[in-house]
Amino acid sequence: MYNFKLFIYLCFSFFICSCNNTVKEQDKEIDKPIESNNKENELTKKIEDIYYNVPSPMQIAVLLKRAGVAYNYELPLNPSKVNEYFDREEKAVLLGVYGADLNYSVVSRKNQETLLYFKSVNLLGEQIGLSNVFNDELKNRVTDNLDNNDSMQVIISDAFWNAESSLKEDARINISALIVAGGWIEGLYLSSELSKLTPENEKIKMLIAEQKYSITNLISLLDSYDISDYTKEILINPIKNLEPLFNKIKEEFPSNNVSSEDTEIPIIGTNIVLSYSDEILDSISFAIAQIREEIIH
Amino acid sequence: MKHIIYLATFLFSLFISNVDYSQCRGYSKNECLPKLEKYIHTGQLNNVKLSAGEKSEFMLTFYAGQEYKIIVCAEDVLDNIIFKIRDSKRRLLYDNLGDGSLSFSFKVASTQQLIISLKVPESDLEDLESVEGCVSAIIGFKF
Repeated sequence: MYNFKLFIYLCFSFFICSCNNTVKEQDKEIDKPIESNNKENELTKKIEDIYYNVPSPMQIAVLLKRAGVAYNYELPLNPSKVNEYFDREEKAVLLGVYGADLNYSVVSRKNQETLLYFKSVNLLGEQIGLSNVFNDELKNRVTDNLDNNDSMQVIISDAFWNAESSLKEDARINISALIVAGGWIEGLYLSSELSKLTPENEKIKMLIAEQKYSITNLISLLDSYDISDYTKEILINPIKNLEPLFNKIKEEFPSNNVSSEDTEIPIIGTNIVLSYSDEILDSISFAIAQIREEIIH
Repeated sequence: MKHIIYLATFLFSLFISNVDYSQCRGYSKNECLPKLEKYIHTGQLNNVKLSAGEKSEFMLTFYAGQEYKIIVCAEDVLDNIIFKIRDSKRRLLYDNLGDGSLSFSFKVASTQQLIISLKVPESDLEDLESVEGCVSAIIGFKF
């Protein structure tokens, strides 16, 4: 009986050890295009077996800037909101939200706002047990490099990278997934609100539509981890309800493929054009604003 | 006493797992990250311990108009890593053919999902089959 119990414990322990979000597998596949429908099930299974990444808030902030819209002071979350009561999971989501706002201010070179959002990020980071990342040392680096935009982008990206690493090492990957979710929500919220203010800007509309790809990855990520029923109710289920709206955005494949002959750097992949209406984007905008409102109370 | 042994076994296993991850994180940060040079890393973590014949895959969105660089790093104990990029239909877009090329810069024709695949080649030597090492892929972008 003693040995049996020990065996069960060992099995459980090694099961825990083997839970890693990056799937390892023995590779037996052949590199061939998928040609027939009867291979779709196999394809689906394979795609389920991979790790899904969500674009970082820094990438979204850079794309917003490239879209040519001016910084809007009213859109990011009030930095003082951090002082209200939130439970641990909500704080993780909020850290993601403020992280996106911080990236938005860094990329837009708004130093005063950068300091305010950094303060909120640092406080939340400490509160959820990330004081090894969000601490005085980081604060000093931010203060010293405030005028150096390139360095700031690297410092902030590094900080969130270290935070995610630290959470994974501490087996708190669910918290990491919630930070990612918060960042994604705020990125989409900023894009949607900026699109409302500049309806003629097609680049922002495209950026919103392109989140069609990310939402699938985000849902897969959130479904992988143990998250409370309350957070599922206020965050994950509403995100899942958003997916059918993104599914209305259709992919078209024009025959004129992009040539890479004139460029020094290779261009890879398929030429895809997303087809959507303003009504679909309005529905997404309305829904994401509701989700954001719920998570910030 | 028995419970202490069970708990110790469980905690030791967790510890080993986290030490593995921590080692790969350190390896990735020290050996891989600096190679991005002027590119800003996307913040995504893709570190894993692999042994001969094992593969790791991850999927992410690449945006049109940005220039990307993927750096793959693998500890010396591992043979040449096979590094491939496929589209979401798994059509092959890039393959280093295990020739030791562990960096690839590119743009995408339009915003789309790509699958990055890293594989340690099979080994004929029995001793090498059990050898594990850290493999990392770091993605940077610039515009």
